[in-house]
Amino acid sequence: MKNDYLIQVRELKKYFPIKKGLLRRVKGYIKAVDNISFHLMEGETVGLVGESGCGKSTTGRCINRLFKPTAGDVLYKNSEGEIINVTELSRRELKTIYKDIQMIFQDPFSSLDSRMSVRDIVAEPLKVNNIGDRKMRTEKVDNLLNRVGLSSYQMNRYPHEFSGGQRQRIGVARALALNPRLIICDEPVSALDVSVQAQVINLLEDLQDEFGFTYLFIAHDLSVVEHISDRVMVMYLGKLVETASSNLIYEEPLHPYTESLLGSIPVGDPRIKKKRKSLPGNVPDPSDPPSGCNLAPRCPYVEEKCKNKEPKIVKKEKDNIVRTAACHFVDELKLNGYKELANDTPAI
Amino acid sequence: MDSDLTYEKKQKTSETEDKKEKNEALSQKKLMWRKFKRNRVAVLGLLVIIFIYFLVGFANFFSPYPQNKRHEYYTNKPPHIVNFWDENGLGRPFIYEYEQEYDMETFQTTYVQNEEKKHYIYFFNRGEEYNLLGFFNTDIKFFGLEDDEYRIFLLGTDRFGRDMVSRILNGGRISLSISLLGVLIMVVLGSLLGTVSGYYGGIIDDLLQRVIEFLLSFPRIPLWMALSAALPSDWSSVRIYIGIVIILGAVGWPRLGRQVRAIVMGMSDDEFVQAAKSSGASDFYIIVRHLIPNSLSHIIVVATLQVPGMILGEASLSFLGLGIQPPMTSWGVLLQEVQNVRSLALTPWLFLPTIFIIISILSFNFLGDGLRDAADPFSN
Amino acid sequence: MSANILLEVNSLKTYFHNEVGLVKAVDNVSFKVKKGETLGIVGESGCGKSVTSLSIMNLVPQPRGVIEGGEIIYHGYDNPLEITTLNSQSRDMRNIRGNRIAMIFQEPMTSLNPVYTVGEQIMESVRLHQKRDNIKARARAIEMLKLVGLPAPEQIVDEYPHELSGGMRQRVMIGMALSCNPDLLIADEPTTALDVTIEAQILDLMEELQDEFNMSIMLITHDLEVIGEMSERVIVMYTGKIMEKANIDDIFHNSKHPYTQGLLNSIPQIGANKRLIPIEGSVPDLTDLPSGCYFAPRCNQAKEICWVDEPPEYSITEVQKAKCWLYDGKEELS
Ligand SMILES: Nc1ncnc2c1ncn2[C@@H]1O[C@H](COP(=O)(O)OP(=O)(O)OP(=O)(O)O)[C@@H](O)[C@H]1O
Ligand SMILES: Nc1ncnc2c1ncn2[C@@H]1O[C@H](COP(=O)(O)OP(=O)(O)O)[C@@H](O)[C@H]1O
Ligand code: SF4
Ligand code: SF4
Ligand SMILES: [Mg+2]
Ligand SMILES: [Mg+2]
Repeated sequence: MKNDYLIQVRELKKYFPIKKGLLRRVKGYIKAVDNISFHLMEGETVGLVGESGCGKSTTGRCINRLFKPTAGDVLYKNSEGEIINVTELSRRELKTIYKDIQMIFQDPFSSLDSRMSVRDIVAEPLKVNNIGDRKMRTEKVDNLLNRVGLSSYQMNRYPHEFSGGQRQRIGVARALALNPRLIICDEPVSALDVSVQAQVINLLEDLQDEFGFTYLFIAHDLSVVEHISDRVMVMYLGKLVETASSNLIYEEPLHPYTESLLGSIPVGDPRIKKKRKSLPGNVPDPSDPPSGCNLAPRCPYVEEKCKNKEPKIVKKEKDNIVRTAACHFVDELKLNGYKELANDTPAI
Repeated sequence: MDSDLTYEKKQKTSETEDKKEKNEALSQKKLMWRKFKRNRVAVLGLLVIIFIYFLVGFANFFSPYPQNKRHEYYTNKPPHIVNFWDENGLGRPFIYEYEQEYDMETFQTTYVQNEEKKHYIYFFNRGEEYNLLGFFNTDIKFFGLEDDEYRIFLLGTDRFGRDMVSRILNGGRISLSISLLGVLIMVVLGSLLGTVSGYYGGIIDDLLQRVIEFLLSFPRIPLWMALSAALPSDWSSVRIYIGIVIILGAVGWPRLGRQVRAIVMGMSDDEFVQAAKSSGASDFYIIVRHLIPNSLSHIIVVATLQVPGMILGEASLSFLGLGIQPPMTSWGVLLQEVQNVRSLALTPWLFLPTIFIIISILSFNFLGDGLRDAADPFSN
Repeated sequence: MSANILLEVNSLKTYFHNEVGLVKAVDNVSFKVKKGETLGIVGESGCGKSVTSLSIMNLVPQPRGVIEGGEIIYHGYDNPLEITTLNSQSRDMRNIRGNRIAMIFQEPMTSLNPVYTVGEQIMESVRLHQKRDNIKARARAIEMLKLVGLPAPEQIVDEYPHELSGGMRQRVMIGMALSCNPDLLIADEPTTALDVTIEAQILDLMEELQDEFNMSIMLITHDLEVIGEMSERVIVMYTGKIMEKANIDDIFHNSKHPYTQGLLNSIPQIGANKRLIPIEGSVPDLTDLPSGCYFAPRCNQAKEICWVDEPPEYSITEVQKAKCWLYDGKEELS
């Protein structure tokens, strides 16, 4: 892993207007992403977890400018070492970024155009960027398909002839076509069966070893994220509540929300005695977030202060590794990690 | 693991792959066609439509006389009955001459076949010169009588002695082409504006939506009537024809536009569109390569199901005297000419255009239904 | 038949006559549900879990779906009752559905009717099965909503499904299912569409209510971890057939069937930083199944015979059974 920033996100905000009535007046905003900052190092895998609707996909799509952020900067360091502010690029300038930042999508069915053959789907990024002629593109598609574990003869087939896992491989091949540096994986395995999910995870890991990709890996399954990521960011209601290295976040979480996520993970093995801990209530409406700390209505450690004052992001540094958490009581709380929640003691 | 076994396993899998390879790649188009073919009624509808368009397309070839030619001695003649059998058995088809009888009690004219006077029907014989599809002049007719001593009217004649075969086929040419062109305009306007509205959203969408709502708030038939009544009465019949096409298309598009907008809107959020965008595809590319092909099957279905409405629209307008003007003929014009109950009793064959209208409408509906089912090839 | 059996399924075969061919969605499946236990059914997408539960409810999608053979015996009455012999819409069957066996579905969104309020839907099911008048039915509806832990049930009772979140809808579904005190609750992927924190809430709720109502639960999911948390016995299904039956501890620590082992190896474990071992290939098309053992093309222990003959079910212990040639020599069951 090179010690170099690839992406730096600063105070990113994305608000979606809520329009109502005959005149479509703006009646308020969904604060899908509300003032988050983070960075991605070159060659690392960063996991982004959180409950559905908390803004994970929106964050990803602001980075590759599928969405134009409401405010904030996304700084990208290209292969020449120039730093480019992605949020300020015009449509034409964006073309240079698109090649470097690609995306893998969640839904193996809607992410491929059912009217196009696999060849056309995988070659599409090349075609829209006018790279190569038809013959060269076909060769490239051939290589890519082999690389993701499909056969060349499947090139003329149509998506409906493939299983979910194979379709996801096609999606991966398409993302690789432009030799990107960063791949935003938006829940790439959530819709797959476990046996196939493992295949795709292994594939992504192998590709990273081979090409040195950086991954922003969005998922809601914490075991998958823990498995694949070097660092993990936990998101709740448009904000990053905690970021830390993968090991630390699972062993000694600093934020109550992280602790409850860990407590909610079902553990099947009856020999691991684990008390399921669930977080009460539901995720609040993002257009009407609670005052003070977003987690206050559901937090088991809530105090009066939490309801009035939004917690600051606390930075902690240990052995040169920085981690952050946004809670008033980071230093006071003694939270349980996954190991402590799941004691390795035989049941009964 | 035993190496023999792995070998065998590999062999097995490659066998199944081979088997798969032999099945040709099935595109969605092929799947749709396969599904469509299974629907007998729809295929029948398609065949009937092709047949009718063929007939009206070559109207002058299939009709023995020009549509406006008045055969003075043959007014209000009922259709001739074609016979194949005579005393020598099966032979060349022929007709008998009609003899007029005047019933002194009921004061009605009846027609009886005079079995003495026989006229044989010949195929590909010569008639009056006409222009075939605008390419060249010819005088070959599909059928006719050899000499000019008697005339053949398979669907009878009207009160001026004009041949109904010719009038119905030529009228069909106008009626069916008007509805097709009307649908074409509707499709172009509807899908273009619908796609733009759905894809760009924002102000363009708001604006177009208001226009659509405004247009949809009028009932269709009065709107047609008002618009065609506004066409200047001194226009030539060709200009009126074009005017009617535009009216039918313009009144029809909002419904389609709205549907296309909904489809495109749904699709713009689909991940394959996002994927294209995130590799830098232009809006034009996305619209042309993804959005239109994916809404095309829907558009075709809607268009097919709209043709009957247009046929009826033309017929109603012309029936009311607001549409096509004589000397141009259409099915609506033909019906307008027999606007009274007496005709139904005395000259029922003049209502034959209705049958043609019904058959075309049903066929288009059957076809449209079949296309609709086939458009979703993965449903059962 | 021992007294603590509630439901018995013997050699059930439910087939679909699809245009592309015959789909044996459930093929020769046998199992028993004991009183008060939670039986887990686990397997990947399309392996016949939902069709098994629909067969028990006698709600196999018509006209393509047909129960071609086998029996489903309900032991909750004084005399055993064979469900497959009943007409789907008969009074006896409707009486069993809802009153005796209740089901909650995979999609909390689509299984509630969007045009009726939550209360109306619960009242409907209460009235249908237990002659109660309106006021009592409404009171029961509110009571059920409270029971499933919804805040302000008096208010929610008058809300429409779309006004609730996914987790709340699933609670409503559970409340509706339990409103008539069934003996057996079939939960088909009750938490698949939900976030982990909400999943934990729903699982808690189901455990609580099981004790309170003393009912059996058939928990269907593709998530072995959820099954492990909830159930005592597990059935592992693949391509319409049962591959392995065992106690939960044996599934996790002593699984016999290569498929079960493959599933366990595919699941990422927190803290264990080792490469996953996936099952290669993908679930075969049910209209184009391999010969012999259906798992053979993906199995890393396949023997020669596996490609030719379908393995019988072998009895490993009293409770553990595996349908696999590796156990040739053990007692055969079928
Ligand atoms: N209504 C139906 N018509 C035709 N085939 C069906 C129908 N319902 C299910 N099937 C087929 O039966 C098989 C088993 O389906 P089933 O719904 O039981 O799977 P499942 O194990 O519940 O999967 P999932 O985890 O996706 O819910 C599948 O191959 C499916 O295609
Ligand atoms: N295009 C959009 N228009 C309006 N609201 C949106 C749009 N995309 C996402 N949102 C809203 O933003 C919030 C965050 O969404 P998303 O980033 O997709 O969440 P996640 O990926 O974490 O599930 C949600 O409340 C969602 O409804
Ligand atoms: S600030 Fe308060 S409410 Fe928020 S997470 Fe910390 S303890 Fe909980
Ligand atoms: S029977 Fe053979 S192929 Fe099937 S699971 Fe057992 S070892 Fe594998
Ligand atoms: Mg998302
Ligand atoms: Mg299911």
